[in-house]
Amino acid sequence: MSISFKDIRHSWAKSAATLLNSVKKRKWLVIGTLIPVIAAAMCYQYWEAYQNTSVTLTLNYESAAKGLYPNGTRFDITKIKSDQVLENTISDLGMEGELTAKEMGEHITISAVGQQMMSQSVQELAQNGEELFIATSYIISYDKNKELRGIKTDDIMDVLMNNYKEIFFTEYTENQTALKYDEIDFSEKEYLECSSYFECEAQRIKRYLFGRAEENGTYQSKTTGETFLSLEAEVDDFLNITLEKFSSFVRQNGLSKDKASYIGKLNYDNDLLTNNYNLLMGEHNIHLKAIDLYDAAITAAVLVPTVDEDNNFYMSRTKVGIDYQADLASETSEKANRVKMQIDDNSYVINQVNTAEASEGAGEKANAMLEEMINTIEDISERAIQTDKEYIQYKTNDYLRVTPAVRDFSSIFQLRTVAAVSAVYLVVICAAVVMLEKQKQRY
Amino acid sequence: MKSFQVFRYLKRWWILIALCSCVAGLYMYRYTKNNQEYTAQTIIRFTNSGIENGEAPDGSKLDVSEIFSSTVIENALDILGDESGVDAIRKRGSVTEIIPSDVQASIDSKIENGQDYDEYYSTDYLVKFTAPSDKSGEYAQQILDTILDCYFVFFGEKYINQSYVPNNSTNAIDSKFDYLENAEIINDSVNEIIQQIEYKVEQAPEFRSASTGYTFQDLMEKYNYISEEEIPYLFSDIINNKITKDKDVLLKKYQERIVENQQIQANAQTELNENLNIINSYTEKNKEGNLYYQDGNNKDENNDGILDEVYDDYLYGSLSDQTTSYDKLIERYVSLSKDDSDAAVTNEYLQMILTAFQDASQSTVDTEITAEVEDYQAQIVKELDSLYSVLEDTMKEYNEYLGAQNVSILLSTVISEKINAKLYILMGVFVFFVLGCGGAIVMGRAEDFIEYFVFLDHKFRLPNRNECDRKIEAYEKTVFTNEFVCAVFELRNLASLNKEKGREGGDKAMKKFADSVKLAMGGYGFIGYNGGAQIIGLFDKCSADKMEIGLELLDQLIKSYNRDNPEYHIEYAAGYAEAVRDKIYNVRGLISAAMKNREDREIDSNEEKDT
Repeated sequence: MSISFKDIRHSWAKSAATLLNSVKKRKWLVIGTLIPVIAAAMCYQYWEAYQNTSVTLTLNYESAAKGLYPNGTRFDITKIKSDQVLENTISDLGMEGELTAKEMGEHITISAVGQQMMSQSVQELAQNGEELFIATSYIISYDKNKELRGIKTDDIMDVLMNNYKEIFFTEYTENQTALKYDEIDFSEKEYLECSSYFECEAQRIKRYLFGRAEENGTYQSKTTGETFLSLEAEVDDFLNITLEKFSSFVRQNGLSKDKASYIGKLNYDNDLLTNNYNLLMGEHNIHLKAIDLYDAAITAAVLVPTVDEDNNFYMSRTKVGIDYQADLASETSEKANRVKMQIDDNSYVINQVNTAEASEGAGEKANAMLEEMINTIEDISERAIQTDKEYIQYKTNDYLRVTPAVRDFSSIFQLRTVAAVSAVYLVVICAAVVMLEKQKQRY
Repeated sequence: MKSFQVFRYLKRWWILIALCSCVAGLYMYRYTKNNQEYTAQTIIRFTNSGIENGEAPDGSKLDVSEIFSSTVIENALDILGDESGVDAIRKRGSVTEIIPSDVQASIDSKIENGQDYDEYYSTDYLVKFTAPSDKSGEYAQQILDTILDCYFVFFGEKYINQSYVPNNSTNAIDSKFDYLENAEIINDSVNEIIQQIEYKVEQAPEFRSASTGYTFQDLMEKYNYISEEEIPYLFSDIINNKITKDKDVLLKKYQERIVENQQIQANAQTELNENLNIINSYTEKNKEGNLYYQDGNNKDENNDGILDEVYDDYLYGSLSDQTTSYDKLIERYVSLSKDDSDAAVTNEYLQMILTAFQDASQSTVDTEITAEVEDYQAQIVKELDSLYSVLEDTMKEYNEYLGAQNVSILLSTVISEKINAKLYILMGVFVFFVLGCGGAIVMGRAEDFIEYFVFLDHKFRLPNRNECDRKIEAYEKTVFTNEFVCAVFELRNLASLNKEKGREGGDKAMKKFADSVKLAMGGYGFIGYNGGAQIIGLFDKCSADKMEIGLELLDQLIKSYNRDNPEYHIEYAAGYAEAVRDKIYNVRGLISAAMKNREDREIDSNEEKDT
């Protein structure tokens, strides 16, 4: 037996009419319960919206596109869930003991922006030479742990991101420690040792500034008004004028805080250096003897046409053993002479400390000069750090940008979800009303 | 038999269909959850020179399986605090070389044609890690990323940078060594570290650690400062104040060293003499022969003789050490002379120490000075420890840096799932929905057949006695508190019709009677043939008033029939009972009451009255 379309249409129309009639009869029940359901769904979504939060983390530096940290090591976004970051976050929130890093990590999800779950084989993509994607933006989502119910989710996310930034900046970005003058106690140090220390510190600062000047020689700080070149010049002045002046003053006056100890140290130095000098000179003489040993009849060389350092034609010769021995003899002699200079310098200082008569108030003056040098280098260091900070900000916009997710009406209340829930409820309540009506008709 | 109505069957079984679909969906969800596996994968590229020949930066054979080596995995698990175990992770990781499709096609073609082909060493590798089914995709990503981080460090340490010199100066603290020995330990350790840093300065002058902020040059200067300005005080204080824990032992040790050095000198002298003799003999003999290589038979102008060979060897990288025996003999002479000279100079230093301590008296050593020296030594060691930790951090980062410079990432770690959960769930729901619908149709239709063959009286097209019994049984436990009517209809003259018109005539009248009852009261509920001349009705949508209307309609129908078929005219009786009105609340009671209430319907007299 066949069934016609007309029959179906009739049947549907009849069912629809029955449904409408039943719903009409109980419209207040339907409307009266639907409104609280919508309200409840919206309240839930509102509550839910504040249980979850997300931010977009964007990497603002050149090497990010190569999957690297600013220091050239491999970038790893999962570090945001590292114990170190999470433990610091928990500690900052004052929740130590209430929550473990692992528990918190389970509520954090990370997804790369623009990178969906891969449906196509990665291997195929690479084999076909297709462009592969290195993410530079990530969405970090956090679903609040029940232990943290008293704290706003956005605040937790802020603390988390601050801790991640701290680790990021401390471990992977450019570090300014080299610019910082490392202060030590000079009271026990001899004046000339202080001078060596200052030289060491100033040279380190200079190297950093030189690197920056090579990178961007024209950048000028808005706060300090300095460029890296101008700061470098100041360090040069410190090394070549201030420090030299101080050393000369100390040496000329034969100043020493503990004469016996200092001379003892210099003498020991000289003993060692003499020993070293003797070693080098011994070596030098051996190489000379070796050259003498060579018999000219069996050390013939071949002339080879080549070019010199100016790219002009030049007739060179193949090297023979004598050449190597001569090079080594020259090298050891050079080293020995450097050692000799140190010995002479130490002897001069010993002599000065022993014999020179210091002018009146020379010690106080040296101390004052020392103080002034500390102030000078500290001042340069501070300005260099400030200039460098501004430069990093200018160059990288602080490496990371954290953008919180937009919270507008539709995203807070998730209107689509609310509409779907309401629709489902409407269907259920209508079905219930119809069944109720049928039941009523039956009895 | 009932007509084939798909919607009727679906309507009947829709709850079951919906339930099955939901269960299928849940089952699929559970299945995918239990069997889901996430794979994190990324592509790395080795960029070091020599990789095109399958070599690591140090020229050794590159073994990419080291990415999932025990050392690397163990480091990664340590960082993550994961206790999964090395083997559990290792068996889930894989490294696959990526051969570009054009290269692969070329190789395949050569193999097909039986031609030789050069071995292709891939620079790109696909690195995968599949997490167990109880772990998330993020876990897979975290494990893979950490393994790669550790591998980069491992790669830097193993193939590019060498491990660094340990800080031996800590051994000088609370040791049983003498003061001078401790000072020597500290000094040697610092010198070794300086030597190593010097090498790094040459290797990577530009490298600045992000974690410490220092370059190798910065660190070398710090070490140099300690070595030049601080450690000498330690030595001078010890030597000048003749501080020793045990003078005799110390002196014996240095005396022994002097003796050892003297032996070295003596040996070196002997060897030197022998070496000089060899050199002289070698020189004399070689002067007699021809040392120059000349191919006399080949006078071709283009032939540059030995130089050509040297150039070729140089170009093709096969040039090895060709130092002559003569040079080697001279080198040996230099080496032996150095041993002799070094031993002599060292003895001068040792003699100086001996002289300094020779006249030292154990009892005269000022304990205050000793304490000062100890403090100063502890201060230097502390300073060196702190500096060494900076050096360690710098070196660690340098290794990571070297790793990242030689192995680059081509793709951020992506996660793929083994099972498409949404698709599986949708498929489960859909399949069970389709199967459910099919089943409902088959079952519904089968029920129609059963009903037709078992529960239908084919003659009168009414449910038969069996169906009537089933219905009554179904109502057996129902207490009717609402309108419910049981009715009995009986064809009175069936026996006489059978007798007069034969069985066919009786059946015809009975058929007509059944049709009329159905027409008049079919909307009220169930109507069935109860055997003989009886029809019963179980009306759940009927009241006494409705029943009266129905009976009147039935009378009209029978009257109309009788008028047209006087030879088969119908006489019938009807009776009914209504639950609320008659206060009978069970089905059997209502049927009995209906039987009792049964009375003949006077159709003809009605007609006369109407007329």
